[in-house]
Amino acid sequence: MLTIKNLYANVEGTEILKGIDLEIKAGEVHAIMGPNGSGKSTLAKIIAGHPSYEVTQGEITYEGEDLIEMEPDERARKGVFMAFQYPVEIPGVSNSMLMREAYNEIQKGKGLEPLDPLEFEDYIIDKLKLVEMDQKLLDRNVNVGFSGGEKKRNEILQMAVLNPKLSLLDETDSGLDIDALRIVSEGINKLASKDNAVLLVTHYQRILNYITPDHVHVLVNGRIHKSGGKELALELEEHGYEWVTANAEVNGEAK
Amino acid sequence: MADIAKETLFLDRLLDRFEAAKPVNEKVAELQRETAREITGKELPTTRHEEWKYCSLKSLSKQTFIPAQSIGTPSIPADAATYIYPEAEHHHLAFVNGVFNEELSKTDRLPEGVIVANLADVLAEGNEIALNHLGKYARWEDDPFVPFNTAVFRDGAFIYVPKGVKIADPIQLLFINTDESEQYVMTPRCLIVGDQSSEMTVVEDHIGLGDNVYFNCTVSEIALAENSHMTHVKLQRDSKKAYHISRLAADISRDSDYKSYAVHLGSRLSRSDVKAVLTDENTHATLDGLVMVNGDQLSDTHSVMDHTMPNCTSHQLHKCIIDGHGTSVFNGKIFVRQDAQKTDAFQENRNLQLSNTGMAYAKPQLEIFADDVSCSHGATIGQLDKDEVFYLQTRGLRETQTKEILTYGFALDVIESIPVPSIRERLGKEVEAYTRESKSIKELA
Repeated sequence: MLTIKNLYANVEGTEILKGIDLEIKAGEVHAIMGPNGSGKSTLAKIIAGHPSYEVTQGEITYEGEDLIEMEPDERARKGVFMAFQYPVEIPGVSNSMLMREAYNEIQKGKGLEPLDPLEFEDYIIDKLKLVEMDQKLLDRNVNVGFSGGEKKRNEILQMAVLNPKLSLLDETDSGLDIDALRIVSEGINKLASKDNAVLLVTHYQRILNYITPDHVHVLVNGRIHKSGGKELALELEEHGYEWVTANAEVNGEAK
Repeated sequence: MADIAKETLFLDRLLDRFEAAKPVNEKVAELQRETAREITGKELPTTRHEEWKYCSLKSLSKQTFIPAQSIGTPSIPADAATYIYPEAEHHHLAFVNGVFNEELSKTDRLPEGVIVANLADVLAEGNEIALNHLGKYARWEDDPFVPFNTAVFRDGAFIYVPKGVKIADPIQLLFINTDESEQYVMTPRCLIVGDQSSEMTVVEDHIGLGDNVYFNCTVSEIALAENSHMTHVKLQRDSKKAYHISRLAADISRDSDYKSYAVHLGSRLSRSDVKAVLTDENTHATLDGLVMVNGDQLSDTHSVMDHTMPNCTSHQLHKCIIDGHGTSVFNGKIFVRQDAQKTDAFQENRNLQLSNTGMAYAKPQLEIFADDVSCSHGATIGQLDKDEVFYLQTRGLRETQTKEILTYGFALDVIESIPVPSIRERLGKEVEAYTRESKSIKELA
């Protein structure tokens, strides 16, 4: 589904990613872990098309197409979704209106009929249950006055509504209490299927108690220093990120 | 020599076009003669004048206008009545090119003693209230436009709400400006008087129906007696080639509350001078504004908030959206006089630039002579927030939708304060139309 080859990227002249290789197949859940400032959020934002980052080298291929040349909205219509670390507040637009517009844009992209407000209401009711969200939040302005947990749940609600192929979850777990983490994780698990894929960017091992990744990658200083199965996360929890970099250098795995 | 100079002076040329109409009232006639004399031989201010630094009247001064009332039969569209807001169904006055139109007007459910009528008729009848208040408040130093309006005005709106009377539904003053081949000038005049403990909402709506050149020179005066409440919504949607120069002065008495929301969308050149004088204790004034310019439009708002007595509050949120080669100017003065202790004044001017070629000038000014006051003022000029744009785009929304949503969000806190639902709805549509015309975000990067 997604192939990243030798990806280098800058923000305002500073090199953040220094040669990333990553292969994500349909049905897989990948976790990218790393310390603060390692470039893990940058990777998610670049896949989603954030304009502040400049790809200087390498390629990103999604479903056989070059992703780098596409606008963020075009990527979204082709099934790429990003749940934000800091969801943005949009005054003046109700949550349900944003989701309906977004859903209909994606429907149109697939050559399908858009839903009218009533049809959409029926459609979204089931999705609300998935993240245990109060229907009242649909009428509120997007993320305005939402608690931190509500904002994150709202991101997963949007993921459920838009039904993407590739979901980039940027630190969806950080700042959540245990209950909210459980709800969000269960929502993500229910949405995972053999046809879609998840790239989970996280600082903490905690979320992996709820979501079992097929692959774990450790990103430090713009490079993937180590990849492995879910047991890698536990090792990290025990030894810390320094262990990976020290180990990697000894083994000569780092590029 | 004198004659040659006279020919070249815009105001003189303009005054000459107006025939000395038979006076509606001797007192008014005297005022008109006096103000005509005041501007005879006077030049228009230039950009060397501090108050006109960013607002050049050069193109206006080259135009020739005929008085709107001399247009035989203005082309009034059949659907003119659709410009009446449903909330104002029972009380509205309509003016076509500044001339009162009785057919389009209606005042059938007014409480006892309330007057909503053509100012010319009221003055002709010798209404003492109108005569006493006319010309008393709209005064600016070195300003030729109030005297010009005063010298030649005929029709306009007069509203009087007596003591203790509340009019729940808004009163609409509809100024329809038609598409004509001749360039015309009109001078609508509004005089609004709220007696003690009265309450009203007035909507002043200027609509240009075509894409023609005309000059709308309007003056509104508002006098609020003790403990009265008034909400004043002004919506300026003049033709994109029109000149709109307006003056609004409000005189606010003890325990009264005046709220003004002025929205300027139209005109090639729009200059709006607004003045609120808080004459006594425990008075509140709001002067909020929303401006949207595009193409080569220029919209200039100069405001004065004058705190003269203690324990008064004022609020001023002025938002401008600038696209294309548009220019917005905001010059907001707050005076806190020596006696005005415990004044609480808030002023903020925020500018959103949607293009690289637009200009925004912001000049907030505070002059404080009292020592126990709380005043805040600020001005910002910025673009659409990159993260907000990105967020909406990752949801699959196209650039046009994204821009529309965020622009609407920017304008929202002004729009939301307007207490007439159909105006809020109208403004939502205006923002939509405005952003549809806008160039793509990408092109500007």
